[in-house]
Amino acid sequence: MIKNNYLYEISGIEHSYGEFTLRIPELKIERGSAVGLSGPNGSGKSTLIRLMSFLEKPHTGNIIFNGSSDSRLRATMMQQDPYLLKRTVYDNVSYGLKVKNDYKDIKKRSAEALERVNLSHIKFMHRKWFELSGGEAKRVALASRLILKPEALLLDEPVANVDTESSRAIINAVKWTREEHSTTLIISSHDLTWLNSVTDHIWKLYNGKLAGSGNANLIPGPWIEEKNNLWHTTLPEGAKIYSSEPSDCNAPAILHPHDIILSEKKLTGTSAVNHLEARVNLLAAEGNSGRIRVETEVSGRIISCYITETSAVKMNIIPGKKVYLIFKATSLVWD
Amino acid sequence: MEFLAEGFFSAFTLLFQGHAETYDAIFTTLEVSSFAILISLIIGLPLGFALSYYNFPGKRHIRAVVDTLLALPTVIVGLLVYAFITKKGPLGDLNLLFQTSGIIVGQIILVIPVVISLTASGIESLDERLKSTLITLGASPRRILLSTLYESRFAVMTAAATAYGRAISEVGVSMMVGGNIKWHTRTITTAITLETGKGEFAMGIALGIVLLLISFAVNWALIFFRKRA
Repeated sequence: MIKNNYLYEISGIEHSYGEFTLRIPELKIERGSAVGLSGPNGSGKSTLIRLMSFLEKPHTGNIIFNGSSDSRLRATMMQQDPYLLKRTVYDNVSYGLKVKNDYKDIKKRSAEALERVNLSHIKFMHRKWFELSGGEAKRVALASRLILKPEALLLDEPVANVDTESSRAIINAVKWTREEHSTTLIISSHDLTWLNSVTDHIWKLYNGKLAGSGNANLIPGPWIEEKNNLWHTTLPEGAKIYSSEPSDCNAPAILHPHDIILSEKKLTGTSAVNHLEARVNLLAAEGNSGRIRVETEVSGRIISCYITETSAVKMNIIPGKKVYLIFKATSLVWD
Repeated sequence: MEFLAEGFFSAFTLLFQGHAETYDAIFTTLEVSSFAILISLIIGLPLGFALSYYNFPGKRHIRAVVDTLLALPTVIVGLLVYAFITKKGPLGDLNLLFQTSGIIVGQIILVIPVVISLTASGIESLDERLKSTLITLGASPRRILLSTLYESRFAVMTAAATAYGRAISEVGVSMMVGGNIKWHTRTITTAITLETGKGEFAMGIALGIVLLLISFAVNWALIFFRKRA
């Protein structure tokens, strides 16, 4: 059988918990790629990761992994708050090999996996589970997955609530496993900057649905009709965003960062109806493209836009600076 | 109270001089209760795991029945086992009556609910992330059972110690099913009952001391293993 280039092929899945339903009509993930899942709390990121880890079966629809519906041992997942077995660090890291009866060089491989997450095997190998900090425990959990050389590694909020050192160690280990073993990465995170640095592509989830990709901003509804085909939604702190007619009054709109103009002053005499006062949160370089993603806070919501390095220097864009975001009502689109 | 002091003195004499009849009752007790507890653990641990780990219709009712059986009177078990293994009973051909094997059967029935109930409680109190962790690390269903029991090892050890305590201290089953036959089915508890009835306090006290020492030893072992773990 000739395998296609997709490791995951998801079609028509629906999975419900109480009033929440995750609905993914179609999603394909290429072998060896690194895909990010981003979205607010309760958007369905963790549910999708659990389904893709085959920990749960979707109520309807199919998840095909490598051409079949069985992913055992080839896809492994690390939870947001991973559980360590009540044993030593060595027993935790080597557990996955032992269940496969793979005892060849098990101590050496366990030591290597620990070093990969920047934990000294001499210092940590014989520590008990309760002798680790939160970040160290997360790194041990990651080492116990890396040692399995999985085809797919699914990480649910891997850097949430960890210290900088652990965050750096996790990012390096995750990048290494992709380069070394062509592992397909599927990572959920709130941290777009972190996610951008590890993944090739980001899917946005909102209210159980895929709502855009990349660094697109999601502007939730409800959308209320004003006049002359103009609609608006109100941001948490009262500012309004204007749009053209939405496909559904409650659907989130997608606002691409490249459709936003960043200005130091409020502009007049433009055709753009949205002029929003914002404060710069952070700046993140987009690889070597010369492009900078500027994350701003607008009336209690985060909105990102792009500027060039030259513009950032010229306009002296620094965190905390007051700026204006300018975009047309027609820049807001719906899938 | 003088007879008690004399009883204690004579008890130590019996123990230190290696009184054969006393030691026979001790060894019979250890043999019978150890076999009973071993078989109860082999049957009870997977059942306790299944009762807490899986969801199935009637689970709550089964749990209620098992918990009720924790307080099963030993004489009732003795009576039931006697009725089944007596010559006229359905299992009469097995010749278990007045044999140590008969006592073992009775003690298994007595302590299995303890093992099942305490194991189920121990597993229920485990972190719910354990199951998904074991699955994501590639554990097979058999491995999940063993690893889950290992993760709840403190609860399992407590279940085993409690069950052992119930087995060695019961008198109803041993008396009714074993018949308290000297050099054969006489256990510590049936010997204490008999000797006290005869007014022979020394052997009764000696055996009582041994029973307490066994209980202490089991609990010390439990504390030691907990500390080591």
